[in-house]
Amino acid sequence: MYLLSDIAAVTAFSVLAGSGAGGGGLLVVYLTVLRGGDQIGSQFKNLASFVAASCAALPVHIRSRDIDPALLAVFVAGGIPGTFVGSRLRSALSAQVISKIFGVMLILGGGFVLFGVIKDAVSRAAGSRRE
Amino acid sequence: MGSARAPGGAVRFAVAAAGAVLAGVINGILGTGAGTVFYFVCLAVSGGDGDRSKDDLSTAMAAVFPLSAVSLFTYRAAGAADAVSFFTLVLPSFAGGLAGAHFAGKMRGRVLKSVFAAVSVAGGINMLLR
Repeated sequence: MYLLSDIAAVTAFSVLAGSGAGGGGLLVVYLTVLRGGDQIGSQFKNLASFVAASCAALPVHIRSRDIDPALLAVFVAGGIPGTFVGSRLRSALSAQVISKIFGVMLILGGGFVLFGVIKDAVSRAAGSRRE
Repeated sequence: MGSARAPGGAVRFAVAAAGAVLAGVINGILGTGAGTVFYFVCLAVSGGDGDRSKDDLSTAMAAVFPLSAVSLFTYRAAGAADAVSFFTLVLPSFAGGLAGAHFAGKMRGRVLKSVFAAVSVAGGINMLLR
Protein backbone atom coordinates (compact mmCIF):
# COMPACT_ATOMS: atom_id res chain seq x y z
CA MET A 1 0.00 0.00 0.00
CA TYR A 2 2.70 2.45 1.09
CA LEU A 3 4.86 1.29 -1.79
CA LEU A 4 2.28 2.47 -4.34
CA SER A 5 1.58 5.78 -2.57
CA ASP A 6 5.33 6.42 -2.26
CA ILE A 7 5.84 5.81 -5.98
CA ALA A 8 2.81 7.99 -6.88
CA ALA A 9 3.93 10.88 -4.63
CA VAL A 10 7.53 10.78 -5.83
CA THR A 11 6.43 10.65 -9.49
CA ALA A 12 3.95 13.53 -9.08
CA PHE A 13 6.45 15.83 -7.35
CA SER A 14 9.12 14.89 -9.91
CA VAL A 15 6.82 15.92 -12.76
CA LEU A 16 6.67 19.38 -11.13
CA ALA A 17 10.45 19.40 -10.63
CA GLY A 18 11.14 18.31 -14.21
CA SER A 19 8.81 20.97 -15.63
CA GLY A 20 10.83 23.64 -13.82
CA ALA A 21 7.96 24.54 -11.48
CA GLY A 22 9.91 23.03 -8.56
CA GLY A 23 8.63 20.83 -5.79
CA GLY A 24 8.44 23.40 -2.98
CA GLY A 25 9.70 20.70 -0.64
CA LEU A 26 6.29 19.02 -0.91
CA LEU A 27 7.92 15.58 -0.93
CA VAL A 28 9.34 16.47 2.50
CA VAL A 29 5.76 17.12 3.72
CA TYR A 30 4.60 13.77 2.36
CA LEU A 31 7.52 11.90 3.93
CA THR A 32 7.36 13.61 7.34
CA VAL A 33 3.61 14.14 7.84
CA LEU A 34 2.09 11.16 6.04
CA ARG A 35 4.91 8.63 6.36
CA GLY A 36 6.30 9.70 9.76
CA GLY A 37 9.89 10.15 8.50
CA ASP A 38 12.45 12.37 10.25
CA GLN A 39 13.07 15.88 8.92
CA ILE A 40 16.72 15.55 7.84
CA GLY A 41 16.28 12.08 6.31
CA SER A 42 13.26 13.36 4.38
CA GLN A 43 15.21 16.41 3.15
CA PHE A 44 17.90 14.02 1.94
CA LYS A 45 15.35 11.93 0.02
CA ASN A 46 13.80 15.11 -1.43
CA LEU A 47 17.24 16.14 -2.71
CA ALA A 48 17.95 12.67 -4.12
CA SER A 49 14.60 12.73 -5.90
CA PHE A 50 15.27 16.20 -7.33
CA VAL A 51 18.73 15.17 -8.58
CA ALA A 52 17.28 12.11 -10.34
CA ALA A 53 14.39 14.14 -11.83
CA SER A 54 16.68 16.88 -13.11
CA CYS A 55 19.11 14.30 -14.58
CA ALA A 56 16.21 13.20 -16.78
CA ALA A 57 14.79 16.68 -17.45
CA LEU A 58 17.94 18.68 -18.15
CA PRO A 59 18.79 17.15 -21.56
CA VAL A 60 15.23 17.96 -22.72
CA HIS A 61 15.51 21.60 -21.57
CA ILE A 62 18.98 21.91 -23.11
CA ARG A 63 17.68 20.56 -26.44
CA SER A 64 14.80 23.06 -26.33
CA ARG A 65 17.33 25.88 -25.74
CA ASP A 66 15.32 27.06 -22.72
CA ILE A 67 18.40 27.70 -20.58
CA ASP A 68 20.31 31.01 -20.35
CA PRO A 69 23.97 29.79 -20.22
CA ALA A 70 25.50 33.06 -18.94
CA LEU A 71 23.04 33.31 -16.07
CA LEU A 72 23.44 29.60 -15.33
CA ALA A 73 27.24 30.01 -15.04
CA VAL A 74 26.85 32.85 -12.50
CA PHE A 75 24.24 30.87 -10.54
CA VAL A 76 26.42 27.78 -10.31
CA ALA A 77 29.61 29.74 -9.50
CA GLY A 78 27.86 31.61 -6.67
CA GLY A 79 25.52 28.85 -5.57
CA ILE A 80 27.99 26.04 -4.88
CA PRO A 81 30.10 27.98 -2.33
CA GLY A 82 26.81 29.19 -0.82
CA THR A 83 25.67 25.59 -0.42
CA PHE A 84 28.82 24.73 1.55
CA VAL A 85 28.28 27.79 3.77
CA GLY A 86 24.63 26.77 4.26
CA SER A 87 25.53 23.21 5.18
CA ARG A 88 27.99 24.54 7.79
CA LEU A 89 25.29 26.85 9.16
CA ARG A 90 22.76 23.97 9.28
CA SER A 91 24.01 22.82 12.69
CA ALA A 92 24.66 26.31 14.07
CA LEU A 93 21.36 28.00 13.17
CA SER A 94 17.82 27.07 14.08
CA ALA A 95 16.56 25.43 10.91
CA GLN A 96 13.01 25.94 12.21
CA VAL A 97 13.39 29.73 12.39
CA ILE A 98 15.00 29.88 8.94
CA SER A 99 12.31 27.58 7.58
CA LYS A 100 9.58 29.92 8.88
CA ILE A 101 11.27 33.06 7.49
CA PHE A 102 11.72 31.35 4.13
CA GLY A 103 8.12 30.11 4.28
CA VAL A 104 6.87 33.70 4.54
CA MET A 105 9.18 34.66 1.64
CA LEU A 106 7.78 31.81 -0.50
CA ILE A 107 4.17 32.78 0.23
CA LEU A 108 4.85 36.45 -0.55
CA GLY A 109 6.87 35.61 -3.70
CA GLY A 110 4.37 33.03 -4.96
CA GLY A 111 1.51 35.39 -4.15
CA PHE A 112 3.25 38.18 -6.07
CA VAL A 113 3.66 35.94 -9.16
CA LEU A 114 0.04 34.73 -8.91
CA PHE A 115 -1.16 38.33 -8.58
CA GLY A 116 0.82 39.23 -11.75
CA VAL A 117 -0.66 36.28 -13.67
CA ILE A 118 -4.23 37.17 -12.59
CA LYS A 119 -3.68 40.88 -13.38
CA ASP A 120 -2.39 39.94 -16.87
CA ALA A 121 -5.37 37.64 -17.47
CA VAL A 122 -7.85 40.33 -16.39
CA SER A 123 -6.27 43.01 -18.60
CA ARG A 124 -6.12 40.55 -21.52
CA ALA A 125 -9.82 39.72 -21.05
CA ALA A 126 -10.71 43.44 -20.83
CA GLY A 127 -8.67 44.11 -24.00
CA SER A 128 -10.36 41.37 -25.99
CA ARG A 129 -13.82 42.57 -24.82
CA ARG A 130 -12.98 46.12 -26.04
CA GLU A 131 -11.97 44.70 -29.46
CA MET B 1 16.64 39.99 -21.92
CA GLY B 2 14.57 42.24 -24.06
CA SER B 3 12.55 44.00 -21.38
CA ALA B 4 12.82 47.76 -21.01
CA ARG B 5 12.97 47.31 -17.23
CA ALA B 6 15.96 44.90 -17.36
CA PRO B 7 18.99 46.23 -15.44
CA GLY B 8 22.38 46.87 -17.09
CA GLY B 9 25.27 44.38 -17.29
CA ALA B 10 27.12 45.13 -14.03
CA VAL B 11 23.95 45.41 -11.95
CA ARG B 12 22.58 42.25 -13.58
CA PHE B 13 25.77 40.37 -12.70
CA ALA B 14 25.79 41.67 -9.10
CA VAL B 15 22.12 40.75 -8.54
CA ALA B 16 22.63 37.30 -10.10
CA ALA B 17 25.78 36.60 -8.05
CA ALA B 18 24.24 37.77 -4.75
CA GLY B 19 21.07 35.77 -5.47
CA ALA B 20 23.15 32.70 -6.30
CA VAL B 21 24.99 32.82 -2.96
CA LEU B 22 21.69 33.30 -1.11
CA ALA B 23 20.11 30.39 -3.00
CA GLY B 24 23.09 28.18 -2.15
CA VAL B 25 22.96 29.08 1.56
CA ILE B 26 19.20 28.36 1.73
CA ASN B 27 19.66 25.07 -0.14
CA GLY B 28 22.49 24.09 2.21
CA ILE B 29 20.40 24.79 5.32
CA LEU B 30 16.95 23.61 4.26
CA GLY B 31 17.71 21.18 1.40
CA THR B 32 15.13 23.02 -0.73
CA GLY B 33 14.21 26.52 -1.89
CA ALA B 34 17.11 27.38 -4.21
CA GLY B 35 14.96 27.07 -7.34
CA THR B 36 12.52 29.67 -6.06
CA VAL B 37 15.31 32.12 -5.26
CA PHE B 38 16.88 31.53 -8.70
CA TYR B 39 13.53 32.10 -10.42
CA PHE B 40 13.02 35.45 -8.66
CA VAL B 41 16.59 36.45 -9.51
CA CYS B 42 15.85 35.56 -13.16
CA LEU B 43 12.74 37.74 -12.99
CA ALA B 44 14.77 40.60 -11.47
CA VAL B 45 17.56 40.47 -14.06
CA SER B 46 15.19 40.07 -17.00
CA GLY B 47 12.99 42.91 -15.77
CA GLY B 48 10.02 40.59 -15.20
CA ASP B 49 9.53 39.87 -18.90
CA GLY B 50 6.52 37.52 -18.92
CA ASP B 51 7.51 35.87 -22.22
CA ARG B 52 10.63 34.42 -20.60
CA SER B 53 8.81 32.44 -17.88
CA LYS B 54 9.69 29.07 -19.37
CA ASP B 55 13.35 30.01 -19.89
CA ASP B 56 13.58 31.43 -16.36
CA LEU B 57 12.13 28.27 -14.80
CA SER B 58 14.40 26.01 -16.89
CA THR B 59 17.49 28.08 -16.03
CA ALA B 60 16.53 27.96 -12.34
CA MET B 61 16.09 24.18 -12.49
CA ALA B 62 19.42 23.70 -14.28
CA ALA B 63 21.15 25.80 -11.62
CA VAL B 64 19.59 23.86 -8.73
CA PHE B 65 20.86 20.54 -10.10
CA PRO B 66 24.56 20.98 -9.15
CA LEU B 67 23.61 22.66 -5.88
CA SER B 68 21.37 19.76 -4.93
CA ALA B 69 24.10 17.29 -5.88
CA VAL B 70 26.52 19.16 -3.56
CA SER B 71 23.87 19.29 -0.79
CA LEU B 72 23.31 15.57 -1.20
CA PHE B 73 27.02 15.03 -0.67
CA THR B 74 27.08 17.22 2.49
CA TYR B 75 24.04 15.35 3.92
CA ARG B 76 25.83 12.06 3.34
CA ALA B 77 29.04 13.42 4.84
CA ALA B 78 27.06 14.54 7.93
CA GLY B 79 25.66 11.02 8.29
CA ALA B 80 22.11 12.21 7.68
CA ALA B 81 21.48 9.97 4.71
CA ASP B 82 19.03 7.11 4.76
CA ALA B 83 19.26 4.35 2.22
CA VAL B 84 17.66 5.56 -1.00
CA SER B 85 15.54 2.99 -2.78
CA PHE B 86 16.15 2.71 -6.48
CA PHE B 87 12.63 1.43 -7.24
CA THR B 88 10.57 3.71 -5.00
CA LEU B 89 12.62 6.91 -5.26
CA VAL B 90 15.23 7.08 -8.04
CA LEU B 91 13.29 5.39 -10.85
CA PRO B 92 9.94 7.24 -10.30
CA SER B 93 11.85 10.53 -9.92
CA PHE B 94 13.67 9.95 -13.20
CA ALA B 95 10.41 9.05 -15.00
CA GLY B 96 8.55 12.00 -13.44
CA GLY B 97 11.35 14.43 -14.31
CA LEU B 98 11.36 13.29 -17.92
CA ALA B 99 7.57 13.59 -18.16
CA GLY B 100 7.67 17.04 -16.51
CA ALA B 101 10.26 18.33 -18.98
CA HIS B 102 8.11 17.17 -21.92
CA PHE B 103 4.96 18.72 -20.37
CA ALA B 104 6.84 22.00 -19.87
CA GLY B 105 7.62 22.10 -23.60
CA LYS B 106 3.92 21.88 -24.38
CA MET B 107 2.64 24.22 -21.68
CA ARG B 108 2.29 27.97 -22.05
CA GLY B 109 4.71 30.11 -20.02
CA ARG B 110 1.80 31.65 -18.12
CA VAL B 111 0.44 28.24 -17.07
CA LEU B 112 3.85 27.10 -15.92
CA LYS B 113 4.29 30.36 -14.02
CA SER B 114 0.93 29.83 -12.27
CA VAL B 115 1.89 26.26 -11.31
CA PHE B 116 5.21 27.54 -9.98
CA ALA B 117 3.44 30.22 -7.92
CA ALA B 118 0.94 27.71 -6.50
CA VAL B 119 3.77 25.29 -5.59
CA SER B 120 5.70 28.16 -3.96
CA VAL B 121 2.72 29.17 -1.81
CA ALA B 122 2.10 25.51 -0.86
CA GLY B 123 5.80 25.09 -0.03
CA GLY B 124 5.70 28.29 2.05
CA ILE B 125 2.69 27.09 4.04
CA ASN B 126 4.51 23.77 4.58
CA MET B 127 7.54 25.60 5.97
CA LEU B 128 5.39 27.72 8.30
CA LEU B 129 3.67 24.60 9.65
CA ARG B 130 6.89 22.62 10.21
